[in-house]
Amino acid sequence: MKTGMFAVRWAVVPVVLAVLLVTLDREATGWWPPRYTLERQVQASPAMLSMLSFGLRPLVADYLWIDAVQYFGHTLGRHVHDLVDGRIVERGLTGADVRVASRVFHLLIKRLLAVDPLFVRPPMLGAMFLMDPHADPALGMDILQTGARKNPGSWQLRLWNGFYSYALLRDKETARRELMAATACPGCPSYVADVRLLLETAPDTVLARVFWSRAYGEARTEEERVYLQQRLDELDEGIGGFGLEHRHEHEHHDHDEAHVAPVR
Amino acid sequence: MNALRAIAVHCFTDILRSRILYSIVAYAAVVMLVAVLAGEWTLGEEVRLVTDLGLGAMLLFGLLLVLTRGAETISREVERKTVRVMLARPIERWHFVVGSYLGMAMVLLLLVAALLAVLVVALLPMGGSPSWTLAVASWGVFLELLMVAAVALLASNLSSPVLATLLTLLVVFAGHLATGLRAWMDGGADIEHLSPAERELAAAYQAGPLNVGLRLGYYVLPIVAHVNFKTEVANALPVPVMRLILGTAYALVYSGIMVLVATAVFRRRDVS
Repeated sequence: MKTGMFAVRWAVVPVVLAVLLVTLDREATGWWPPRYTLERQVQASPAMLSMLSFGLRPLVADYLWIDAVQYFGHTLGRHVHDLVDGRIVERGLTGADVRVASRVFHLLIKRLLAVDPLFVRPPMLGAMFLMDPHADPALGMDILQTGARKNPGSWQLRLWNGFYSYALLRDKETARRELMAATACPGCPSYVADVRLLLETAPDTVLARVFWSRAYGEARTEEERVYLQQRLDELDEGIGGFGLEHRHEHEHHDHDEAHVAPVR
Repeated sequence: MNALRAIAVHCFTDILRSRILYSIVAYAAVVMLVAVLAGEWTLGEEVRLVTDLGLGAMLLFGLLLVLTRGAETISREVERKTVRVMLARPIERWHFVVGSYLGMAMVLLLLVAALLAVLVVALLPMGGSPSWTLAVASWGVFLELLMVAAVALLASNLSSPVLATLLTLLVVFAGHLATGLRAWMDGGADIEHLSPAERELAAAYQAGPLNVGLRLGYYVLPIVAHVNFKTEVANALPVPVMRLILGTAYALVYSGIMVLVATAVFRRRDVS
């Protein structure tokens, strides 16, 4: 009897390991469809999620962030990176798909912000990724503005909001106000004051180079560095202004709502 | 006083003799595993994820301990009739109740401190530094567990171990929901994020008799939001000293009242 139980116990280990490996590799094996499709169904509202979080609201926000990152990685990120590397896009998205994916990614970040408005990096990185030429800068701007509004004490969000307000929307008044507010936030580094001065006096290219270089220095991940290096390369190649203007051509205001599940 | 200390120490060692160390090892394994994988998942937010997960697991393991051991403190002694041996000695009944609670409190303090140490060790290689806020958040977890232990002690006095566990779980869950429900009733900040169906539900709460019941419940349930500092630690924000003091006072007073009620119930209980 004892030997039987012993064997059963040890038989469980390889079974669990096999299930784990298959689960991790499910997309590669194609045993069941990938979870991260373009269209997403979001069931619970942020308010409901927060209430049912058992006091672990930040952990729920972490889960939503991981979810958003994975979604990005399987849609927009894959598309953008394949183009950056100059390789043939095997699973790249079409223009319409990019619009849908941008919209879904934007909604995922907005939902996260409703759960934890103080989480700084999702709106910052979400905006950065959506500002990519192949994504949707208008939605990126919206995320940034929402983040800065919900978390006015974050110098990072104020700085990025101010910078993009000027670089993308040419709204110098908002940029001035946001950069001023950023310098008053706790923990704000001294270079933000320099950026504020450059906004008034320096040409766009100088301002852009200072901003992108500083942001590159503060980047924590490879994805951020790839994006920021692109901006710096564009400056080196002599693309005028902030290297953002050409993105207006890619802005899409005709989002196909039918493809996107309603997110509250 | 000696009797109280003796019972507390007895309860403390009795719980330690159970498999509490296993839970610490399991906790360490979970936190370390996440620490290894987190970098891939979070795009630079691994310290935050491990901190949040660590605090969440701390709460979970503490709750498991309270639900498995705390909810059977009194009822088990009564069922096994070992309480009669104790009460035959020159000790008061309240010594037994309060001593059991203090013993459980000591174990919880030890557990939280040990898990905090594991969490700090897991964070160090990732560049996370031990912060005052992390200690405060852990203190909040301890206070929450103290309140739950007090509820479990009372429940243990009123019913069998299984029912006491269920009752405690229900009360704790309701305590977590209470803050959100109150925000719904009062039309709080989250109301803008409600779906139309949830808004209708909120309107029903506001208008109906549920409102009165829930409002009463709000003052009876352990409102754990008062001692929840996890949002602050997750976003590297300072915890206001006054909030910490008031939260601590609330948890101690609430626990004290629950223990008092448990003592009163046990005084009238027939243990023969």
